[in-house]
Amino acid sequence: MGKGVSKEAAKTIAIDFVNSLNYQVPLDFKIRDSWKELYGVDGIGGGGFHSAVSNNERGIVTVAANNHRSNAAVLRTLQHEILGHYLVNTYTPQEKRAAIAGIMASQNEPSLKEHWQKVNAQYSEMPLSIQAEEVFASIAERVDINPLNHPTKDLLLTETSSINLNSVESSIQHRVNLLKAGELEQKTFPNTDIHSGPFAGFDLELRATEWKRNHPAPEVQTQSPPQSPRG
Amino acid sequence: MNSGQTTKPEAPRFLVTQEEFDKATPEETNKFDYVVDEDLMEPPKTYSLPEDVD
Repeated sequence: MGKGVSKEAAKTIAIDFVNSLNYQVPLDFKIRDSWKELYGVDGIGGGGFHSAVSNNERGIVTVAANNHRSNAAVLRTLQHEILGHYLVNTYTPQEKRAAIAGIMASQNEPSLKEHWQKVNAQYSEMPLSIQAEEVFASIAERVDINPLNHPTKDLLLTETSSINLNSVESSIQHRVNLLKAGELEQKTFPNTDIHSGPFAGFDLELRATEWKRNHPAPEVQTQSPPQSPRG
Repeated sequence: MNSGQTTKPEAPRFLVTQEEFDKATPEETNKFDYVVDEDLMEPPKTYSLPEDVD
């Protein structure tokens, strides 16, 4: 793509972005002109998030600069990877499971329809939990990280039964404020993530629960055991 | 890896090619905290797709 953003411009956008987060982003940035320079194969992706393996390691955010046509698009990629994938992994594994479960159960929520459709189109073969994390990251792309005195709550953790766009945006903004204050670090790693290891069956479990909820078993008439005659 | 300078552990670093590292001015190295990394990575299973909306 000849009219893409230059690697140098993407670097400047990245440093401005982490500056806006008070430099509280313990990640490495790998910015190249093309996807091929990052991964050895051609690709149209804007960037990727490579999680740290443990809390002694650093995660990596990649950016393929030329795959973006504007500086704003680069910023959206950074928000997707950092405010989406990095931030969701600052939840504890239990919190992340609850947050992702709430998003998974929100597929029919009208305010999230646009995001679910976009994710379904790109990742229909992926487990539902991964799709839900992509919905979170998709919303993070356009979240205002400097809301003016706007009180925020981590609604993904407190209102798990009725997740909507406002819930997710509020949670992201809430956690961005914690991140800026230096109060967050990555707590969920690949070996404790819901997408892998012992939690990989989580999708099936949730789908089974959903199915049971939507297909209640017919009521069975119960009969009292016959009373034994009293002597 | 060659590190440009020592920074706080929470600060971001930039993984660059040897050529970028060698060409960088001291100001640039200081600003971006460069580390040389020329390894190709395993492509991620998911990635962001830039939208042509601007």
